[in-house]
Amino acid sequence: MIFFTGTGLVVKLVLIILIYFSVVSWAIIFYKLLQVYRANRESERFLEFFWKTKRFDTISTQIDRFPNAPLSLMFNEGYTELKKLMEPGEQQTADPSVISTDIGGIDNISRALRRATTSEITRLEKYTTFLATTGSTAPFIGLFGTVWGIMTAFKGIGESGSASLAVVAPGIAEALIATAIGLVAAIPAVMGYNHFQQKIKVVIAQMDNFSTEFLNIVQRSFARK
Amino acid sequence: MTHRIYTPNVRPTNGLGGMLALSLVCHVVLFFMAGRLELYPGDLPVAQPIYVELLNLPVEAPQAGSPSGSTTGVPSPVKAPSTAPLPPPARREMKLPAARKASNKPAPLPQKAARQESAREYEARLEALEQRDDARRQEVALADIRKRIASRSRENAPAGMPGGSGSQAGSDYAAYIQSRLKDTFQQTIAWQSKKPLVVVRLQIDARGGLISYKVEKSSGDVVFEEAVYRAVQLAKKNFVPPPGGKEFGYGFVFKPEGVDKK
Repeated sequence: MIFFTGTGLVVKLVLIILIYFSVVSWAIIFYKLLQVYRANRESERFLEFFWKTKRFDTISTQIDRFPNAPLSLMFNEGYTELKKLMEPGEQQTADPSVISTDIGGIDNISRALRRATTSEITRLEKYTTFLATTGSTAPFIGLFGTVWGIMTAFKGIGESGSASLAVVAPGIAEALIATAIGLVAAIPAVMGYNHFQQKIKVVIAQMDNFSTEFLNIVQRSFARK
Repeated sequence: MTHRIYTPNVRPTNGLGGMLALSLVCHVVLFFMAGRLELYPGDLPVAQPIYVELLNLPVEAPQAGSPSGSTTGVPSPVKAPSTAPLPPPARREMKLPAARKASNKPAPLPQKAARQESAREYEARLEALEQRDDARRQEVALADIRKRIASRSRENAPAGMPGGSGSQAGSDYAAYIQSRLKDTFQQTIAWQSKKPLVVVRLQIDARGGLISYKVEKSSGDVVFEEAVYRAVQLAKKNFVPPPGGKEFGYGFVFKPEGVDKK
């Protein structure tokens, strides 16, 4: 505690910034842990349900059971687009249960799925840039505080006219605390960022696979040349 | 021809509010845990001095001069003899037994034994007399020294001060506390300003516990103030109860050079 009270204004400011970075980073880590865990768990459950049910209309009625699954949102987008294409007046076909690929029906669904994927990636990656920023800048901010603190300490040594350990040590120690806090803020942020990037990559791969599967099913079941 | 526009499904994102509160709580808990677990190397174990209190325990009315004065002036209840020193007694000349006459006749045995016994008795009596004389001479000389010290100290020194006329062997309690503070201050001393100075008033209860610590004056050097505080916290473990079973309050001046009484 002494090193917080005994520091100069600049070092205090540096410490406040670093503590802010640390608090927000931890909050993002907790938030993302929960979000990614739910997304993975519900996506798995949705996939299982999807392959078991095999009827789009039934799946669509129970989509609310998976509020956090990215795949459920993709399905919803794709199915909505499919319904729109099958509505009379939008597609001029003889059989209302069949869509035409001639005017880009499949492409429409593909675009809808891509948009849903992008939207989910954006949602999952939200706030992670702050973790990256903290991981890369916090050590440097801490280092700045240390350099400034050592400069002040040497000035104090010059003023006190004594170079004993009792005079030198406190200034150096209070300066080094800034680097320590910088590292304390940066290490969890970097670890969290790498962890979430890996998890989000897996979710993206899942979404791509689902998108392909959905388009295949639509083309097999609904499209006509 | 009419075109319907559909709003795409976008999942709302929750804010960080709850998680920020959780993170803040975690940080506060970790901060206090770090303090409680004494992770910071400032609280490393320090070798404690061993105090052996024989004559220096603080008393209400310390005797004149340094506590070593008590070795010369042993407690006052000793009565000084009223008589003037006596001259050493004249040694008695011991008469040697008369030389034996050479004779061929053997002396009768009982007579010889009686003579030897009377010589031994005489020697023992003589030795006892000498010891008694020596003891009397020493006693008289000691009483004379005591008398002279007592008359000199009563002339101008106040009670309880060096050269004063206190009645008990021991030291001043404030000096005792000062010595403990000096010892611990050497372990904790640290400062950053040019001439730091802190005046602290300590209040010690009848059992020797520190009941109040008040900074009366400070030069504003936080590091130095913290060093003083830690020195007092270390020193209070070695405080003994104040003499007379009363509370004790006193001011001490801490400087980089050491600790003074206010």
